[in-house]
Amino acid sequence: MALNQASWGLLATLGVPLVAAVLLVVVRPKGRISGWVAGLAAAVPLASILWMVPSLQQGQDPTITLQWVPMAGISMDLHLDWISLPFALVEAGVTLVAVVYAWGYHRPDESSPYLYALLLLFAVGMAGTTLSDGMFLFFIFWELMLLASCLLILVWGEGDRRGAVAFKYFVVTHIGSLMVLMAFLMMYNEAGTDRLSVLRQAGQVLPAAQVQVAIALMLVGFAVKMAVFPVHIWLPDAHTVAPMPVTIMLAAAMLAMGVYGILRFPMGLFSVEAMQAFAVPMMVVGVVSEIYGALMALAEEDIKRIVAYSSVSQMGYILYGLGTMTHNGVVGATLQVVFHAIVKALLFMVMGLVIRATGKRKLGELGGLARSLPVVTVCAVIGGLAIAGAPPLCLFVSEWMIFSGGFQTANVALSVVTLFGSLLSVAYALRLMLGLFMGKLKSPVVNSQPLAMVVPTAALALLAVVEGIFPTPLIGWVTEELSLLMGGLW
Amino acid sequence: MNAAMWATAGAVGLPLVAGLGLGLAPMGAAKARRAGLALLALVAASLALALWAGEPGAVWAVAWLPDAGPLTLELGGSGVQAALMTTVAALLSLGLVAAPRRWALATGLLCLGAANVAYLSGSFLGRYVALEVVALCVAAAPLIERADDEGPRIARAVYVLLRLGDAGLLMAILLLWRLSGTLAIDGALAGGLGADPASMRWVVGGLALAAWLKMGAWPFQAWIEAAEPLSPFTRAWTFATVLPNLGLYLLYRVTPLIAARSLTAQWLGWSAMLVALAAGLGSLLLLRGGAWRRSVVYLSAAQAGLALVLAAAGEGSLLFGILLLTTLPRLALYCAESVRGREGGRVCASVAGGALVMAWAWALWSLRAAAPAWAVAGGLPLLTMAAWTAIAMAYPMERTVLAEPLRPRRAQAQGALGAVAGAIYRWVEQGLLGGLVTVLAGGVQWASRTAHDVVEEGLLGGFIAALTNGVVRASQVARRTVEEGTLDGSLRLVARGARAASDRMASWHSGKLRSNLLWVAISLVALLAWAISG
Repeated sequence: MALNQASWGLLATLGVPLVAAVLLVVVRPKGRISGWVAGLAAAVPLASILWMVPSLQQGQDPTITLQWVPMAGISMDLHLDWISLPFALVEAGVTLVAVVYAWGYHRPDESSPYLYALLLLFAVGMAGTTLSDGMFLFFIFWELMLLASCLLILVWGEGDRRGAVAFKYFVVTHIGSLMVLMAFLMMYNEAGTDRLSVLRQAGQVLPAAQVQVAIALMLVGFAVKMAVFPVHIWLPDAHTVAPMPVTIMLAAAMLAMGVYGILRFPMGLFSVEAMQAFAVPMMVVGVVSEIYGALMALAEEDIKRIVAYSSVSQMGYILYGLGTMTHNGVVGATLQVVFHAIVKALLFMVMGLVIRATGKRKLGELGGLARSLPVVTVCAVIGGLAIAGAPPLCLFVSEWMIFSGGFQTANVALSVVTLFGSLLSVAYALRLMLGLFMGKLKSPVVNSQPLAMVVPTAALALLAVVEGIFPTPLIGWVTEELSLLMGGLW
Repeated sequence: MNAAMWATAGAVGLPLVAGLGLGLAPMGAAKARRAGLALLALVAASLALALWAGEPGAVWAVAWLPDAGPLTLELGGSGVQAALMTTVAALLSLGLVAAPRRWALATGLLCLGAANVAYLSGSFLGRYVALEVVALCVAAAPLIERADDEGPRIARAVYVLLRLGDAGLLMAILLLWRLSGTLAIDGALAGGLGADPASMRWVVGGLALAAWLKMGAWPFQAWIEAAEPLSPFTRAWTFATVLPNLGLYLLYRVTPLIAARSLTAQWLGWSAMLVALAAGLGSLLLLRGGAWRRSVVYLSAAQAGLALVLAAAGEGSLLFGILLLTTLPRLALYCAESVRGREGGRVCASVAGGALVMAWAWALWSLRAAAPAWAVAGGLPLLTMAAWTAIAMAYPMERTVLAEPLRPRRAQAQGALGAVAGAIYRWVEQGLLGGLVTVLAGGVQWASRTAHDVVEEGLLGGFIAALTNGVVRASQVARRTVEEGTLDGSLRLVARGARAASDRMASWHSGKLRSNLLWVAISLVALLAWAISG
């Protein structure tokens, strides 16, 4: 096993939550201890990833090389590079806030150690997905992510339909996973290795016809995880039924893994020429998803489902940005992943606080909460305006870059539709925020708000403002990924 | 820091800081108004200093987004004059009408700060952001003033409409960025002049839409009209002055681009004339119906239409002159109804109406000499509007706010013209346009619900259900045929055969053993003895 100094960060990112999860299951601590252990274990990956950033900036990518099945050319390599960084940060950050939020959301009981252990395993799955440098290891973590989240929905989901919802979630996303696996096997068979650094040459290794098939399979497979129209069918139910901390992780972090897959594999392994055929289809699906998701959010009455459908819309922006295949479009799409994570986690946390305070989740039964929940209202307004793309909040920055990328292509009409389609986001965001917090009080506020739920919500609201005003460092990090995409010819 | 920097900081920073401070500091409305007046005087003084001391060029520059160039605040251009005029209008409106609520005044001040940033901004990105903040402040005002369900309704309608205009502006900005490679306003506009016609159509369309909406030209005066139930200060200043002036200024800056393509400009010009006529007529009819507030909104809409005519004719300097000359009279007309004392209101309206007539007469005169022939036809709505203003000066103002602007009884009392006017208003404004808005708003909601029912529940839900049912049925069939029929069946057959065979062997074996037990025992003993011996 080869290690450099920064590689300890990789070990800590994956190892600490994994060990903590095992300890939680074996020791089964009582009361709030499980939550604290999970919180500590979730903080370590975030700190580790931030600790590795200077190494990346110095050109020393943290790497762990470990042979797994040497005769078959399968390795167990871990690697942090500029493509992984934003996604690893998103995953680690979202896990931390979700676990802290769970301290207030989940009443400690005998099942708590298992809940926190599964949350940590879910996080390990996502972290491993972003850090794997081999296809098979990637796929193992990819499936771990699915299994852990599916179990969380199945056991701790809300309502009687959780079994059916977990089944639907598992089957639909697994179909996507199988498509990805098929593409992986095609590449592995031709290249004789699963190492991504070697597979960067896959464009030459695979015959031309197979290149297109492999790209198409991966795009559809990862699009299922992104939940863009029409393969989003698992999302609204899964987001609605899952307990709020899991919903936060699903919406804010796991959807991003689909984007990561597209960046890492089709865009990371193949040339501009190979990808060009998919540019317009990606843009079209992105626009349709953006508009369709927003329309569905307008049609919904359940506040959790409204926010869930807004993810379909936001993922549409991201796919559109990637499809432009321009500097601004791709950087904007990656930024949108990070900012969407912040804002979506924030919005779901707000919805959790509203549901906890009122016991209701139908928009028509809620209203006038601003006086009773002032802090939550401020956070919600920031979240709502951010999702509506209002400057200077964070999502404005990424949308600006995505739109500008769109207008740099030859498809001006499509870009115009995307731009004006964003008005629907304004409409649903206003409907949700004004409906919940303004007007007459319709439902009495019964419960107090635990600090563990309010503090991460407020922190994310602050982050949404700060990242909007000072986005340059993050843009700098994200821009570095371009050299690793589509041959680096930008 | 030199004088120009201090002046710019004062013009932009003071209202923003004071707006936030006023919002947080607990004080009564009267005290807040005095503080507001003092502050506005300071801001106006800062802008006057900037006008005097400012040399052309960037005074402040901040880097925000990579590749987007610096966000600059510039002096020496027309922006300072426009900002000064808007600030003076704020001062005038706060002086003329009753003190607004503290929060409403705070919102107005924030609005002014953002508006001044927009005026002075040398970058399209900075201007866009500032305009968005202004739109947010405008939309927030109804939420502050109306705690009932009316506030959110107005805020939603206003913000969505304003964002529609901003989407047009953003489209134009991004295309100009692509065409010119810069977001600096002067550079982008210069770069856009040489662009291909296809791109320019989008650019001009976006800019015209943005100006159209911000100025509140017909039929987009709806967002200004929505302020009818709000306080006089919010109605006259926050709604009817800030964004319309910003729209007018935007139009002035982009006039060379709009007029550069004669065919596009001609189309825009004719549309604007129709718009001005419709709004002028609407204003006249509303006035006859006694709906003062709405008639003033329509008057502004007519002026906005005429401003678009001037832009299409390429008369940028006239447009800027109109901005400077009509801001205060227009604001005074909005305030006239709320000025303390009936006589005061009447004088205010008369003076303001007269000033508007003079301003537009000057514009018409100048247009006659310089513009293309088609633009001279813009004189028609101009004359309509001038006639209206003359009537407004003599007409006794209604002090009440009318829920229905043209009451049937009143229309009858005014005879045939009133009846026709009422009918036109009902058919066009309430029927056609009102219906259009209702259909649009309801249409989006209906479309989303239908799409949800058909696609989500029907197609996709049905697909999933069919898929699940199919898989379940197929697996049941497979279980019956393969598992139970073939595999289990064969296994059962094998097991049954094996059992039958073993039973038969067992019975045969036990029967033989039992009947020959003595011989078997003797043989075993003999075998044992042989084994031991040998």
